[in-house]
Amino acid sequence: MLINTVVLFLRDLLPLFIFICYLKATLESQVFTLKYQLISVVFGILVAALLFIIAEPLSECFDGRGTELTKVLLLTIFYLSMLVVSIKSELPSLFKKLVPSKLVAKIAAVSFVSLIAVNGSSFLIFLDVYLQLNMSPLDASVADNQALNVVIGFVVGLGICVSFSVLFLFILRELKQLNKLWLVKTGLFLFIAGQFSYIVSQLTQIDMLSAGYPVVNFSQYIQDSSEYGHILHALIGFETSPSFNFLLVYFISFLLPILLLNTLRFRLQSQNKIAPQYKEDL
Amino acid sequence: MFKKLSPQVWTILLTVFLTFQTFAETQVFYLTLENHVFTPSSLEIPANKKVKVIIHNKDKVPEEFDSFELNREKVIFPGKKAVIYVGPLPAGEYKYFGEYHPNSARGRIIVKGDANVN
Repeated sequence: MLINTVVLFLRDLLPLFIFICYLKATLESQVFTLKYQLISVVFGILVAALLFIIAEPLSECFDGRGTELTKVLLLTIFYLSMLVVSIKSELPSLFKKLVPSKLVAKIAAVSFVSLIAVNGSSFLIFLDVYLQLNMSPLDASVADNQALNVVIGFVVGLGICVSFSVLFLFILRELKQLNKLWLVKTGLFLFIAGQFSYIVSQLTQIDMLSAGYPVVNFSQYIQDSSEYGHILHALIGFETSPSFNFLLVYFISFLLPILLLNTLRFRLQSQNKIAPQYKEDL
Repeated sequence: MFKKLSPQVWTILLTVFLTFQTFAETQVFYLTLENHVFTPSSLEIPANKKVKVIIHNKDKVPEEFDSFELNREKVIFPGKKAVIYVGPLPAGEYKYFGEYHPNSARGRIIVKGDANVN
């Protein structure tokens, strides 16, 4: 139970810590303020709690496909919101009327709420099972032992996530200071693509998308179940044996913001609408 | 001979073919979870074919069917059945476990080259 709790922290909650680091590093602190961060976390927990409450009836909706379809919907909202945020944070002069700069923080918050809802609801089910087991008329010593293991796992898992995110944010800010913002943005796009590509396994699980055969197999180098596997999965959506469809969705969702940014930048440059300070960044 | 067949006949033939393909390809396999143990602990499925696995949770708490190797995770609520599709996969052994009871709820899916497995 101890290792399992730590693994669940790495699987479900580490991506949230990584995402907040990226948001803090890429968006100006005046835009994505502490107020927005706290509001996103509170709303995210509320949506996750709602999903947890309706998890059972939801799983039976759409011929047993309700949970997967909800996750796909939330991840699509996450991806599209981050697409808008990425474009607007880099090209603020674009779509001024449609998406005013003030709205960027709110869209980033929507994205964060969606990710918290997807990952948090799974974690809440685990906590619920643990509580049910401890309240059942089980052997008292076994229950106490399990409770202790989960509490220790909780502390260790949270400790790993917090210390990892502190170091990660430090690295991201250092890269930004060294004018390597492109490296931070590439990391962010890989992260977004990794999270979004989870829809492939969800859709293949419910037979709405063909899985196809694994294209490569890295299992002899790194296992999905290992600590490195979990961290790489959280950082860039690493899969040991990805299918063709997974790679296709992954690369399209990674390249789309880059292509869109470059195209829009080019159009703005050609129309001479770009502000001088953004020209310097290019 | 084939040139004489009308487009409608071709459509019907294609539909029948695809229907049979669908039925032929999606074999159904069953797993039961009771006392936090999966039965059967090893399930044999054919290689290079997509199969449907129905998991029945007879316990009083939810369980999450989880497999890193199959890239599947699905919460099964108490007394409910859940369906997941697996494959097509190359021959080999793919481990799975119950996320909430990883010590007892363990099993493996053995993918065999022989199409007539049960």
